[in-house]
Amino acid sequence: MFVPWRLATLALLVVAIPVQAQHRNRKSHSDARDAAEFTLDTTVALSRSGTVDLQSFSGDIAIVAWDRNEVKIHATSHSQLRLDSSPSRMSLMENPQDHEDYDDDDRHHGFEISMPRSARLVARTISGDVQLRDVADVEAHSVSGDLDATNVASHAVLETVSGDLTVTKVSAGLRASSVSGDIRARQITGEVAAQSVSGDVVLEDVTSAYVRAETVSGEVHFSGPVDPKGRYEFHSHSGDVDLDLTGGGGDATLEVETYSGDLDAGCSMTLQPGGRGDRLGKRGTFTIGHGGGAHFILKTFSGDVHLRGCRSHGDK
Amino acid sequence: MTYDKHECDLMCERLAAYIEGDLPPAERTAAERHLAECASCAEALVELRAIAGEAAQLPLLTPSRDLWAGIESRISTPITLLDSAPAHVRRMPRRQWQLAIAASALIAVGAGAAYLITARSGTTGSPPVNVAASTTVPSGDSQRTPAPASVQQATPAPVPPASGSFASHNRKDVNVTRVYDREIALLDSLVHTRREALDPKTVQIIEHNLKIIDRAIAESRAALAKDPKSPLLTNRLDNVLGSKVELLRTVAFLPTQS
Repeated sequence: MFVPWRLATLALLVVAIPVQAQHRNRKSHSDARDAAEFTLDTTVALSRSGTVDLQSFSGDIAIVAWDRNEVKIHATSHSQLRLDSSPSRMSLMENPQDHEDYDDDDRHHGFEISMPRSARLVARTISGDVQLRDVADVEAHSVSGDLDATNVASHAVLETVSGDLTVTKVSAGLRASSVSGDIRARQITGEVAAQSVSGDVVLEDVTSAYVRAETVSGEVHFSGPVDPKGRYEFHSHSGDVDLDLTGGGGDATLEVETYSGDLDAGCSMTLQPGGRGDRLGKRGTFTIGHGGGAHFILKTFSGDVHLRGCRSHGDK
Repeated sequence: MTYDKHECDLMCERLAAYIEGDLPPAERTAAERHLAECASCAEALVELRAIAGEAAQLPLLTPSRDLWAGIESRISTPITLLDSAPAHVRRMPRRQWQLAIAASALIAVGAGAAYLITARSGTTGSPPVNVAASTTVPSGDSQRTPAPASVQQATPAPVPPASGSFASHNRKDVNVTRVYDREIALLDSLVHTRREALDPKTVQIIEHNLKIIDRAIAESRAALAKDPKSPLLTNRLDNVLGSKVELLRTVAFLPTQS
């Protein structure tokens, strides 16, 4: 029984194009194992506010943006590929049932995508790397692959377990997390939240009123202009926290706490009443410049806190 | 009437809105018809209502960290399903739904943890600082702030008064620890069932990082035993316990190759 809502739903359903294979080649591997290779070369229409959804296993994903309302796809895989395309969404994924471990060979496989500049991108891989450029809105996940994002016009959400994460130029905020991989982000505007377990978190040239970075055993580094109304939180358990205010840290208030680490300040600071330092830890609120201004929270258990580039009271 | 996988997936996506009464009238009517005719979606509705009921027993709060977005992104976009997949693969949406329910349950537990943490931080936070009565530390290399020394020379801060007795403070700590322990145990069991499906190298990395966190937890607890009232150590312990929960959550929702 078809009712109007179902007809409407059906009318809007994605046009599924199961791509079994445009080319299916048999080729020999060094270990004498035969494996199928599937390739896809096509271009599909996508609105500029649409979504591109990519899922691969061990092949790399490379994405660039262009000014056409189309998605150009070049994909090669050992697994069957499935392409679903509608004006608002394009998804390309490998069939998990076909997948076997082709680690060496998959270096030569993956997706190369050109997509509308303002469309949203969602990319997921297990061991492949993701490299993207000039995309507006990004969400990318990898288990062991590296993530590399450059020139994101809007917001970026990037997650990896053991891969490294490198981000350059994001215009409207970044959320990044890793387990053991390092997070390196520079030229970021907007709110930043970054966390790792054993990886380092390095934030450079960040222009933001809210930054939070956290790691357990890695180190945290921050540099960038400071928003007078901003809040900046940096936590590490055993790693150091390194704060470089050369970019314009005028007046600021810093809450510093460490249990067994030290505070190394490269400028004069004013210790506010209520500070404490004994065998059970050190805690103090300091001001630099004229005080007030941006609020920093710097906390470690056994790591040191390094502060440099700040302006001493009376400096011009 | 039977519904295909896609229709049931769409229905499941709308269940929360259906329960909340947020669906437009036409969609609500369609949903009611679907739920009346589809046993599996009706069952999912019952499960979701049960979880919503349990969650409603928890106090309202604003979690200290935005955990949901990461979990939602993982459960809403699973690894691909193919129409041509064998029959046993067709059970995946059901599994996804179970994962979603498991995630919801974990969120409920996490919400309780966040509430207790928030409640506790309200009683053990740093005392207000009198900025006006500041002491300037001289500048210059020879007098560069030997901050730790400066801090050491400072008058020890009075221990912030707890809102309740010391005994009640300790009871809260115990409660928070129990909530964390329960959530970690739940996640541990979920992770354990997925271990075989993960790449061994990934498992190795995860175990290594869990050890790092466990060491940090042990260090924080040992230090806290010496200074049970320290807000710094309490916060440190909360942070590393939170890191462990987040890592386990990450592992619980990692995609696999099978």
